[in-house]
Amino acid sequence: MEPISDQTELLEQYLDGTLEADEAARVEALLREDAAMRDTLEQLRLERDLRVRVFASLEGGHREADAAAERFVASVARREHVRRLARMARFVAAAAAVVLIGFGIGWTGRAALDPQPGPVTPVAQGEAASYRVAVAVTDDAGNVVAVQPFSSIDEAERFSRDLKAWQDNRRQLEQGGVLLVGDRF
Amino acid sequence: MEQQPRNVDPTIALFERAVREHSRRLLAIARAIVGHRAAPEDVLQQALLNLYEHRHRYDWREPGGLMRRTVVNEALRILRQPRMTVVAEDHPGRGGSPDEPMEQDETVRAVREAIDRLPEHFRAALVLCEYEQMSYNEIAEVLQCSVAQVKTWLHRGRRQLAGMLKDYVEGKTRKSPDGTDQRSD
Repeated sequence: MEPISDQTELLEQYLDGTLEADEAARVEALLREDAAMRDTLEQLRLERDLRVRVFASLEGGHREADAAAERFVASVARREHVRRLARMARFVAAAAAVVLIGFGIGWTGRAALDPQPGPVTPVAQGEAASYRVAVAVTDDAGNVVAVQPFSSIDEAERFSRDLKAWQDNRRQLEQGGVLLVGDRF
Repeated sequence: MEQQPRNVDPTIALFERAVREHSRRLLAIARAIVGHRAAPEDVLQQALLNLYEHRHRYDWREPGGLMRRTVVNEALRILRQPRMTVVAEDHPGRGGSPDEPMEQDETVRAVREAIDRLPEHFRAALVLCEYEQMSYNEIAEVLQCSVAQVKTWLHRGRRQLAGMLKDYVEGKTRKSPDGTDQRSD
């Protein structure tokens, strides 16, 4: 054990209850023999009791401490409320951002999504309307093998005449007839 | 059957209970350490707010030690700030309770003022040791120093207080025979 270098400090630690058991026993042995040391211990104990009283007096009343606690609890509740609102606002803002982004993407890409008209066909509606007469070409059995439209009756009649002359010439040739060179087709 | 509100964090309920349970003692610790240099309520509020922000890290079934440590650290942090505002004396019982003899009240006030003049770490160590009855190891952990440092602060704090109060006691005894106070302060 170390020698006692500062009796007061040792007694303070004895009062604090922090000495090891053998150190405490040694102090108690010394106290039994030394009246001055007992007086010092008593003085230290009084000082200590006074300090503890002072610290205890700082506690204040229950009402004051309760009020402080309630103020804090209320501020925590307010803070949580604000935090919940902020969370909700963040969620709404995020949802709005998603909608806006989706709309933006849709708006930007609408040209790619819309069906494009194909190339203009050479047959215009007005042109089709101009075909007023059609000549049906039939075989020997009377089946229609072709239809030729014409824009006027004159053209259709001319085509029919030419076609008939060609058919007659061909039939005459097939029957061993003579084809006149001057015939026109 | 009573229904629990939705989305209630159970930690908040434990935290609020701990605040209500310990606020009185925590307020006393804050008062003892900051004295007149800051508002003890502000110290308590900030300390509790720090705990609340990180409430999920801690076990709230035995929160006393944690709350004390946080209040002490917050009080010391505030005292370390360069600009300190001296607040009005709002110590509870400043006027003394009706049941308390005036002389005892005066003694308590003198001790308070003497404690308030101690260096901040001396005050903190004394409060934790004598009021909170912490071991030297626990005090060293809270004040982030060695056990030897704690012993030194405690011893010096007590001796400085004894010196200041000796002056007070001697001043009190220097009274005239007719009972008037002859102190020069």
